[in-house]
Amino acid sequence: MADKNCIEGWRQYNADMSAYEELRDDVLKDAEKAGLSAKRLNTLELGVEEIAVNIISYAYENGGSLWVRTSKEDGFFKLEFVDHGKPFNPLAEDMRPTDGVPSVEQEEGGYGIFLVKQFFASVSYTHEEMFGKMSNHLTMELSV
Amino acid sequence: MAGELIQEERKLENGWTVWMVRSRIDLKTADEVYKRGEEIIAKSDKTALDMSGVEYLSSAGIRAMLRLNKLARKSSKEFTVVGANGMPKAVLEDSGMDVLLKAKESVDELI
Repeated sequence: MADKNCIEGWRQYNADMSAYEELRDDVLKDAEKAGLSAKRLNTLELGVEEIAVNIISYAYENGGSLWVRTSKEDGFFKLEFVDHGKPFNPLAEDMRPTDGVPSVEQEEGGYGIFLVKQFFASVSYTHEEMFGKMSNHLTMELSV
Repeated sequence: MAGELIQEERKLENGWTVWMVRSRIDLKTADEVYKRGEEIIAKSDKTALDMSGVEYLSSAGIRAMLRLNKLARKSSKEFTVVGANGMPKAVLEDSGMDVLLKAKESVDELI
């Protein structure tokens, strides 16, 4: 679905907040073309915001790139993020208390990843070589 | 992508200040929403954030609500949310924030 800065369908962006809205809008346009409903688009946007902002905020100390690819497979809209930042498995960051209700003193972080895990059909993480370097590779699937 | 953030407030006879937010509470607007909430909590003992006009809520919005809730409790004041529906309601429920904030279906439940 990608049509710019492509390596086999991947789009490349600066891992910088100034690139966030373009990245988000590109993904949402792909999803519209794939036939996601308005409700699903809101859920997808939540995933894009939580993951992209996390990468932009924490992956690099001195700037870098992030790559995004979308596809539609077997009734799912698939979204992948890759970065060359420090190894980080966001799926290990779940701040939700075990009883399901946050306390008043609950830390303010961790909700984003938790919500992504809740709303997406699947989320997986690998640390592997991509684009010539070891990479964080996150894959999320949302039913169409 | 987003409509303009609109925030309005009105006082009920029983002391609740109903603070209506329209549009989205996300990365871009959460700070603005927090600042307005801070001002309202400073002058009201009971504040209800009316989310019936909110169409999108991300964790940035949840963090703002957690901070406002802490702020209110520090001053022995009340803070709650009312009228969330659709995606924002699902986000509140799945994060457990609906229980923490004693979320209500509508403004009528404040009366």
